[in-house]
Amino acid sequence: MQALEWIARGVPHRETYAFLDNGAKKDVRRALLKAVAIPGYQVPYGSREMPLARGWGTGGIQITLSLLLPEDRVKVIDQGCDGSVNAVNIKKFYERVGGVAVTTDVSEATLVQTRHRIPEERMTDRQILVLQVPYPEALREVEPSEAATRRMHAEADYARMWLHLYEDIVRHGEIRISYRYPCTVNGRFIMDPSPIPRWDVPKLHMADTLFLFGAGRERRLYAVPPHTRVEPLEFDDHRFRVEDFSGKSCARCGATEVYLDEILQPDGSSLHFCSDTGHCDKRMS
Amino acid sequence: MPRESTVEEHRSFRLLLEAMSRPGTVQPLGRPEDGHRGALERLAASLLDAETTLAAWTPELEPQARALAAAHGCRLTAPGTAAFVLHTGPDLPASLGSLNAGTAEMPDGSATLVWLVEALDTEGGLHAWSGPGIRDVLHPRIEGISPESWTEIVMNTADYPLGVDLVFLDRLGQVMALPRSTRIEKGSP
Amino acid sequence: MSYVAVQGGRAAIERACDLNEYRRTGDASAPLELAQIREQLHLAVDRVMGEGGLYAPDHAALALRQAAGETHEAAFLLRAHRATLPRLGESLPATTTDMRVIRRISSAFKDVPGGQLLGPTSDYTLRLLELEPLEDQEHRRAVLRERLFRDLPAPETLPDTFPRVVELLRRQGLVEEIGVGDPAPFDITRHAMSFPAPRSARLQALARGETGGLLMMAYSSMRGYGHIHPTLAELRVGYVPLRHIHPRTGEELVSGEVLVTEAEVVSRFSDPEGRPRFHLGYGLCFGQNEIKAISMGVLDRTLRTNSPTCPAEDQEFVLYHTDGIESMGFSNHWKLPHYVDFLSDLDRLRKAQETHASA
Repeated sequence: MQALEWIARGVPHRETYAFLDNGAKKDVRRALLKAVAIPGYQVPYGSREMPLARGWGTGGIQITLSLLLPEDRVKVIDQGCDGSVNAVNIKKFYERVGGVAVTTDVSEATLVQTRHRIPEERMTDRQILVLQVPYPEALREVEPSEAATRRMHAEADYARMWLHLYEDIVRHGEIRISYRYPCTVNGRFIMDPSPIPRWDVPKLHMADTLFLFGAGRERRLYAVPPHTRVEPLEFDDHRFRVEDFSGKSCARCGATEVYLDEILQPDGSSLHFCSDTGHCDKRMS
Repeated sequence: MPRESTVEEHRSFRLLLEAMSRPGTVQPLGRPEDGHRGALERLAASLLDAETTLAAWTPELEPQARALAAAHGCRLTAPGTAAFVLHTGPDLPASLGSLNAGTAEMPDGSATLVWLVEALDTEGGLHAWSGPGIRDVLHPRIEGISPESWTEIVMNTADYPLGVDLVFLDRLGQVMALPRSTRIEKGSP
Repeated sequence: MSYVAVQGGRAAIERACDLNEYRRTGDASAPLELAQIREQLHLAVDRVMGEGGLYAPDHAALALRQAAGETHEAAFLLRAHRATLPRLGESLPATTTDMRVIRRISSAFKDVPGGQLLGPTSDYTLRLLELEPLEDQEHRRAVLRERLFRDLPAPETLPDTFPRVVELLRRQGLVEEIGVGDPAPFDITRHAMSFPAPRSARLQALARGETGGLLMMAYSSMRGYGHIHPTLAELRVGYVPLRHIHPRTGEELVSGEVLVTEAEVVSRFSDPEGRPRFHLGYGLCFGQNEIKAISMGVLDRTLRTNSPTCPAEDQEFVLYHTDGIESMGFSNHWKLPHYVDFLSDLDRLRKAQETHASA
């Protein structure tokens, strides 16, 4: 927040629309076009510093700033919530540097930027979803070296990831990966869908919307175009399953069939509320 | 740099992004009265700068390539190494394989071929396009490409994830994209 | 428990920023002036310029004040500011042969041509915390200056340049030759690094690296995780002029000078092929930051191998984890809400517990 104010007060040369200098935007745009042409493949790019810290959404922000239009209506959510710290900061930034209107209603938005959730309402072909990504590399779970994972993707050599999942099943009876569930995109690249819960992974498959993923600190962009296959890794006898909310509903609006936040109560019980606050608000109105 | 021109660059890029994410659709990039030149200039303004390279594959586009390089600072190089390659006319001067197709470790390093054609339409074509960005199947029509060129284009998609990405601009300033991820089969609807 | 309204969140955030500012501006003490920070905390200013990757002492002083002295935060402010500045061009390659030296020492020899110029350093001070009253500071300064400038010997003509110790060793065939070719440097601010990285990319990353992180990696090598056995052939601190070509007239101009620290580290010979020679590790950073320059010199040497046997030899390990802005940002990000992901983890645990119970 302090950095934002400083920028607003003192930066002398801000004549370009949407904050980023043209060089930075063009670098992002060229990378995005390649990313869309190679679904699920992580495109390296220059990645500039933003007034928000690395790890706080600089990748998503650079994507949004490179394609923002004054007539866009922008929704920003974090964990599904429009009022979260991260979301509020980013929205203020876009209002200032892009002159855009902001909204909490996904059906009104033209551009949605998100950290770790996909909205419950199905998005349309008139919308773009930009996801903030901390770890772009799905294979990092089994291999720390970037040079090695690059080779694995080049050769489509994903044996170690499959083995990792298999070992989980043997040892624990369950695949332990919860968020960042690895998926095969367009039948070729294994992709990290970002830390969205399993619940949201099916929304990426054969959707109407373009999904853009930005990892600023790691300097990678990737994309899932509409109508693209996104298939979570699974075994014939151990299918991909989403989180289990059976028997639970939102204590505020009564919704089932949505991702629910769990709030622990002093007596040890739990109450549940819609993670997607915009959706919950709409149901209440 | 005035704000208005940079907003225009944003508009141009949104259309290019739409075109690449929905292959076979047609987007109004430049004004019809400005023809090829207008669309090409909008593409260049939103994408080209000193960090990238440009080549003219056909001699008649060399003056245009030089003008774009001067305006945006990109370096002119040989077609085999350039990131953006300009072409016009129904036939290709050489195989698409002679352009940069990327490498297995860096498939994104491949070229983008910007092809100035006669006319673009979302239907009426002789090939069935399917794959990422396309709901079921499309039969886009591109007027100004020879049958031999189509053979090259189809072969280009066989090497996925390597391959050149194609961007077509027509006389009305419209744009259509054909990324390497698109599957093309012969056959009208 | 009721649902927290969106508006409440925004108000809380704004209040948190106000409280931060309240603490930063102090209580009854006089507000800090930039000149005080720039002059009297000059080593902090130097560190921040180096880690931010922007030579701008006034801005660095401002950043330190705004960050209440937190150097990661200050370096971040500086680097974010740098990202907003248009790049006008590049200077010509600079050489420290032109350096206006204020300090120059060599540990490799007892004496060297040009002499051991100790310069301004805390190396020889006794680390005794001085508990004198602060009111005397103005007086102390005046007394010190009077003492320093009184009875100075007649000024000698200083040599124009100081021959490099490494160059002298090279002439005797004791240090590896300078590599062939002069490729354009890689720019890590414009392109993502891939590995193995070219030397220019490695040095640029090290030059912007966080001092503590670099120190830790170099120290691990010095202590024994690795075997380069370094000797400091030469350390220089001084002002280097930056030259560039005027875009219209084509003439060469000096645009200013920057204070830098340069360390040349010589390591024990280990070249299996050809004639045995010492290897050279090079470090250069903004301002006077000797720990960093020495660490850079050590790491430049350890990162030369493509078969790392320890962390300090592993390019990815060192270069990915020593950028202060990236590491600080990501470490801080854990304070962002993660409850959706945590719930997903809970789901997995509960399922696994069910499976375990029924087994």
